[in-house]
Amino acid sequence: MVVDDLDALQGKFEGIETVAFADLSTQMILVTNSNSNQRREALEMLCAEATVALGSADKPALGDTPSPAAFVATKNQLRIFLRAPGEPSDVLCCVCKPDVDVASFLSDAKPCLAKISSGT
Amino acid sequence: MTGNVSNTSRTAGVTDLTALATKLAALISEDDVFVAGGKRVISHGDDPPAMVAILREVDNTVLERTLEFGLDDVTVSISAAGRRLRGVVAIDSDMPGKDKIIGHILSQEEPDLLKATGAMLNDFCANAKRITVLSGPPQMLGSSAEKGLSVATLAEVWQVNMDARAAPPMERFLTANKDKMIGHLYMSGNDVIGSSGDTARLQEVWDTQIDMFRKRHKAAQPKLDGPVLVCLDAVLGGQTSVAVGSFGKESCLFSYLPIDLPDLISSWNAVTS
Repeated sequence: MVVDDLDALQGKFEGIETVAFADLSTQMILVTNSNSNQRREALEMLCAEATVALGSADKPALGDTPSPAAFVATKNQLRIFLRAPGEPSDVLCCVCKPDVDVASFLSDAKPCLAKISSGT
Repeated sequence: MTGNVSNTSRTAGVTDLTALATKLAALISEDDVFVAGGKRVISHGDDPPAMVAILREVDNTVLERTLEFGLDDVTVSISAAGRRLRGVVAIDSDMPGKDKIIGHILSQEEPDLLKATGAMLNDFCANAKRITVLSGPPQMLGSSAEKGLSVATLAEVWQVNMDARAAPPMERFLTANKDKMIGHLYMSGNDVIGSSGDTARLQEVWDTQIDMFRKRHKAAQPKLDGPVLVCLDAVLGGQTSVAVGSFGKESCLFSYLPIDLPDLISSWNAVTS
């Protein structure tokens, strides 16, 4: 179950509040971790932000190409967006506390996304 | 910082009403931040400069007090009175030669002691990321006739610019991370006020893409407010990544490699928090 993978990822790290799997082609959050406290409106904004930040082949956010990973650091949050390598529309959206261990989180989040995206 | 207010107002020695008003205004500041143990944060290393923050505390101390300064994990306790630094009463560190500093009244007739005390404080201040102070009852140090030295004298001897102000957060962020950036543009509004490294592509991104990106980002996150750093991995070919930061009227655009991203985000949080 996708939710189990998201729960495991969220529970492994301190400071991870929400982990959501989204489909950028429909701009929809498909699944979140089971104890996410994000409201629907906030999840919609999160997905919209992922679309803008990661960009697309015909509309890169900045630079020349779509980004495989984007990070938005604000005073209260770090939002992390990861794109599945084999399926550009499959995205992991994460809402974290600002002081989360980014490197450690990424080392687990990337394989988690790959697993969910490939359906294995 | 409330403990010294009544002391200040009761002291007959303070005759300069303007100076008194300034002190009182500082003492009732609502911006004070306290941490565990009632310690008050007076500097984040360079905001204001640590030595300036320490001397300001001395200048704010009228009745005799022991000021315990926390410089990250080192504690230096000094005796202060009459807006003067009398001497060092304790140093919680294994630094060599500390016995030559502790327990002696500062005087211009003791230049070696004065120089060693300044060097000790400077060394501890150099890399400290947070300076705290805790005011406590006086500890025995010399005789009451030995007044120590005024902040003006100490600032002159130790070459501390008491008017020094911290650089803007954006400038501090860029300076601290220059070696992690392939190139950067530092902007005020749309004017470039600083740059380093390879900026040709960054300037093109700034000129042709930034406005649209910001509009789209604001539309996606309408509540977006305050300092923001957006980092986009691998968008300039290969692993070369680009980030745009905003803090008030200032912005930065820089290129980096993904391996440096965690440090860059951590630094941004430290500067903007």
